[in-house]
Amino acid sequence: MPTAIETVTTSAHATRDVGAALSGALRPGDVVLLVGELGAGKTTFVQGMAAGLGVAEAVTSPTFVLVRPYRCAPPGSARNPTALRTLLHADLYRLERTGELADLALGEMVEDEAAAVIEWGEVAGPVLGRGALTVRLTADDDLGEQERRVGIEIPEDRQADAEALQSAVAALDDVGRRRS
Amino acid sequence: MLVLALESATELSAVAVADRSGVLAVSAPERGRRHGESMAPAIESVCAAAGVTLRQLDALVVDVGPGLFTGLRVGVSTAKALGFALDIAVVEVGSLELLALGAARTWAAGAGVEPPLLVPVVDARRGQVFSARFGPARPRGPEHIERVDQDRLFDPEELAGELTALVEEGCACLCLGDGAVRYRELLAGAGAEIAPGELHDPDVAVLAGTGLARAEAAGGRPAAEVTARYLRPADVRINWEQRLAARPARGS
Repeated sequence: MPTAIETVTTSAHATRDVGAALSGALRPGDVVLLVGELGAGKTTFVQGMAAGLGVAEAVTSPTFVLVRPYRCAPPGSARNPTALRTLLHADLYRLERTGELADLALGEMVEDEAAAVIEWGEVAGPVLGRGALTVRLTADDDLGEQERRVGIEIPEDRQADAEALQSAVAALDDVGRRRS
Repeated sequence: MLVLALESATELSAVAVADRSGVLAVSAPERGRRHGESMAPAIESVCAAAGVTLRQLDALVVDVGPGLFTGLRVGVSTAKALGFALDIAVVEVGSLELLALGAARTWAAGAGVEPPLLVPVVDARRGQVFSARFGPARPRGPEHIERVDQDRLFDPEELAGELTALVEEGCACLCLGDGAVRYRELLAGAGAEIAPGELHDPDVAVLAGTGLARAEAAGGRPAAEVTARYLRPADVRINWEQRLAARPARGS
């Protein structure tokens, strides 16, 4: 069973912070499937991940380019504690068929000291799901307008990363109000 | 008959020019994933080394995979572009059969020993492999081997399970390819033999020779019909409308 971390963020800023915390647990070759409806905060979450890796460029939705590479701060530096050199940001919203996923070659691109975060990632699940991390963002009627439920699933062989992430998330302000 | 063969399905890429007398020139194999940068200059240099021009070519031969997406795109699109420009046919050879053909050459000369089942294994990345099985051709054909089953995408454990069953039935299995190297312990643990080093890379000379023979026997395909074999899970239409029912329109 993968480890699941569940939390509720109370602002876009807090959602960003959880993204930054997650990026600290990433390793080269990782694929993060980002699941959530329009307006759930997917791009906000990716902006947080990029911040956690010391990406200097502004992160915007890559919808029209499908995959956008961002250069991280030097690996192992204060701004990027991971071994990643590149964060690949993909958005599958323009894809018509799952076969087109192959053309993105994400499975190969992450081999170059990179990790990929994929918006509308549930579409890629059957192709890239093996060993992937999954982040689910939900805006619920029983949550406030700015609140988001954030669920992160980490593969079972990544227990240490999951525990580190759990403590990092618990230490954040404006998050951690846990709901079942 | 003069052919140009393009190999880029795995991390190793190379090109060769061959005619009936054999391989005339072969490029130094490049390892990595910079096929897009190395292939065109490699074609230029093998043609120069062989003393031929592109216009003299009668057919192109290309490894159509399965394999690396980035590599396959370079080889297949180069073959298609040259096929269109020169108005010549393209012969497609699969990456798994190419590995098996390379190994079969070594047993074709031998006699007395029952050849093993050849199990080429290509690394599909993200923890998966492509594989198929080839047995000795009966009666003996020019290519020495016969396909036993189709190219498929496997979890390595699933492939190991199938090999265990074959080995228990008394069938010797020889695994080869970059996937066999990556999952060596798992496949050896299943009772399969792992081929010696030189058989793990696709051999562009074998590609050229096979393509030449096939071009002479059956011709190739028009460039427009040539496609890479990605061999990934079923290609299905993504029903965004249903997925986003009662949600704002796309792009908002």
